[in-house]
Amino acid sequence: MKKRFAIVMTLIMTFSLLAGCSSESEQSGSAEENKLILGIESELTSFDVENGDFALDFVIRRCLYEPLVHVDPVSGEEEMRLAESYTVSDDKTVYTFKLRPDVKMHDGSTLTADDVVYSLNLTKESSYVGKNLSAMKQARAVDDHTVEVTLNAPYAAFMKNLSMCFVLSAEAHRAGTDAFNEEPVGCGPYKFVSYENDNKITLEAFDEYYRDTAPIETIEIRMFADTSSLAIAMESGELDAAAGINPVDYENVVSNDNIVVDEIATTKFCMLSMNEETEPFNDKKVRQAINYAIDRQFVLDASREGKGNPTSLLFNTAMTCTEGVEEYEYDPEKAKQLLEEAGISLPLTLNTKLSTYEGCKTEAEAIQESLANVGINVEIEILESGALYGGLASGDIPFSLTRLGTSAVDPDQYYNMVSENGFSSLNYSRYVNDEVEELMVQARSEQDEEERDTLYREALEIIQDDAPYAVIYEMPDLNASVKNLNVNWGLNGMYYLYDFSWK
Amino acid sequence: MYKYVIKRVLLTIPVLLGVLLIVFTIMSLTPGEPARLILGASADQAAIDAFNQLHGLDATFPERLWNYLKDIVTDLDFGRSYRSDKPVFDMILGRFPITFMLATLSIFFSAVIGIVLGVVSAVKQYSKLDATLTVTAMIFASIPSFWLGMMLILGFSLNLHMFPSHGADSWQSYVLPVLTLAVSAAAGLLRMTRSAMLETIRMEYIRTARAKGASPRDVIYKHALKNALLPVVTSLGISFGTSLGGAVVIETVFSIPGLGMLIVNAIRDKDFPLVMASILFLAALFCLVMLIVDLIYAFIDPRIKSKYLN
Repeated sequence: MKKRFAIVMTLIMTFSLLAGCSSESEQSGSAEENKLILGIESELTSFDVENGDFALDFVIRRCLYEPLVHVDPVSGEEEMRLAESYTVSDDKTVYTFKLRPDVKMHDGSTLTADDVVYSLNLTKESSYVGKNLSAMKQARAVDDHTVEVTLNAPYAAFMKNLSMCFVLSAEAHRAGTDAFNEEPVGCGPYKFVSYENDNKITLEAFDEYYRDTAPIETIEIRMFADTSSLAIAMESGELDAAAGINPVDYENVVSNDNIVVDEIATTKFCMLSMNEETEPFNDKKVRQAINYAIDRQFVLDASREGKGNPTSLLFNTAMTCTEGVEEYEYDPEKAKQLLEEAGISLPLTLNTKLSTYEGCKTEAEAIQESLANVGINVEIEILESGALYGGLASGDIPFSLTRLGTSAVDPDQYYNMVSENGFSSLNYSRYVNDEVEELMVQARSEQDEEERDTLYREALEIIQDDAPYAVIYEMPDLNASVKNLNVNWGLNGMYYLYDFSWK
Repeated sequence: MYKYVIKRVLLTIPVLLGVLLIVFTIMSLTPGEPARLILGASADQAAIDAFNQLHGLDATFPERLWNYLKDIVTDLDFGRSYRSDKPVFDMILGRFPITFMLATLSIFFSAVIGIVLGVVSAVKQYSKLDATLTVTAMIFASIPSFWLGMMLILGFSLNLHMFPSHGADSWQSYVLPVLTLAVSAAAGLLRMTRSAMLETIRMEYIRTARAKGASPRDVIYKHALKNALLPVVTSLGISFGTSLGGAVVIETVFSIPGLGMLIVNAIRDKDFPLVMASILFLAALFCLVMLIVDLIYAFIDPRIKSKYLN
């Protein structure tokens, strides 16, 4: 008995001795070491410029590689990067870029037009980001420092899309993608150091970067599988910044005096789709009624702790073309009136179910309640995302709740949602309107900013009146950082760690 | 003995073939196209068609199965992941060491805790210690492992800053996940060891041994435990096998990049090559573990040893 007791006590004492050792570098150590530990809830597909579209894929690209030009997502203001200048042909289809001669790659070689052309072609052929260069017909190197890009037709948003295409070292990539992924080579402000255990990436400032060397010397990116684990790691001081906090964890994280949480606008939004080929959605009044019936703030409060922007507009409200367009306010009486005018006798039980996936279950339930308040009863059906998307593409799902996002902040991104050409992709409601089609196609190549704005605003007004969708809310990203870190989270997930520094 | 081992290894092949057929069929029959899942909702039909053509997904089911088997048999080529285009075995073997470490450590600690406490509980049946241990075991067996994991993180990482809450970098990052897994498994082992011991202690040969004057320690460990161990060892083997691929929940909670997460994500994407290779790998590993368990029986039980030798 005594012996057993002794053994147990020894074990306990040893355990506490070991446990007393501090674990990782404490938070305060990061600033002194000029290091940033960033946590992100995302996987990594690869270190290529074109293979993958996870959030982390883009963050890495903005560290290791450079675009030709950086374009502000909303204002459209252009900042030259790898290209020091460019000219556009009179017919607006040929863009000629003059490259800076002083850009060094991470392996010491100098950037040439070959690297740019190679990277643009890689991007265009990618099934993930190829849509950014769908307007491009071909790219060719005129000489070592001049690249000529020819478009299929004039495309006003081309520079915005181009700012999301990155350049890597053609020579290193030609050696093989597997080898390249072990040692990626680009010309960005950070160079690759290591990728351990499939969940930790280490980068180091590149001292021959063509602009000023990055303020933060070392970057360690830690990948998380779960937003709650991310929030806990941030709260416990293991991270200096965390991208992608869940609204549920917001209160806990922000209550920490040392942590600041920023709400960053994104193009992500949640919406209902109503297939016009199915009853009762074939009647415009019914679709409008549904738009009036939904208490959007209530849905937001129920599902995201109110974190988001309730809106009924299809185009992202950060864009100037949405100014002045009428929204659907919450008005259940108006909804009931419209339903009466449509000849619907209430209460109505819909034949079709509201199909959605697990992630939108709370929103669906809140919407179900809103609809029930005006006399429309609907059942919810939770599907696996594969089945949901497949059904929407084939037109078999008449009523759905999904979340979407666009890569660029540009109205042309919504074309596939309102055109016949988008029937098998994003046009879940199978909406067709010739006037809208004409306006959107015309606006796509309209170079004058103001005229383009007017065209899109006109199109949006028609779309809102036809109400093929009931948009519920736009959702921001919630990004946390420690107080003494200067951050610039940009917009829509477009942030450069180059812009971060310690105070 | 060697003949037995070789026979078992050869028997693995039809098992793996069966696994392959079943998984391939299920993946093909369930709704959802890999193209749409991987390329995202905004991909247009042209991109989807290109993807399907590139990966041979537009062929019929027998054609795809045949091509898959052919590649394996002729080139040992298990394919590349649809999503990341990396060779599948590179991905699996990259993640395996961490999961293996996690599984091994958990089984080891669960065995030590579970068996020792199970023996104590059985020997001191009806005492207060026995009652406490049995109830504690029942509580821990019923607690969901993700809840336990989260509580440990909240306590030890957030409040006490003793261990990291995520990752698999240092030995400290293994402490909490191993503790979570070990405690849940130990609870089950404790109860199993206890009941096996209780049954064995009642046997006549135990009474004979005591009558012959064997010390209590010898009776418990040399005579009773050895005989009680057979079902326990089986249970340990199966636990080890399942935890190799099944620690998904723990891997999510602790953000450990292990095989479990890899497989779940691959299944969600319907990433055929990755799913097939991962499951085949785990199935082969499981067969190996069961073979080792069967060989361990020979060490424990001389009756079985002689059966193998014949």
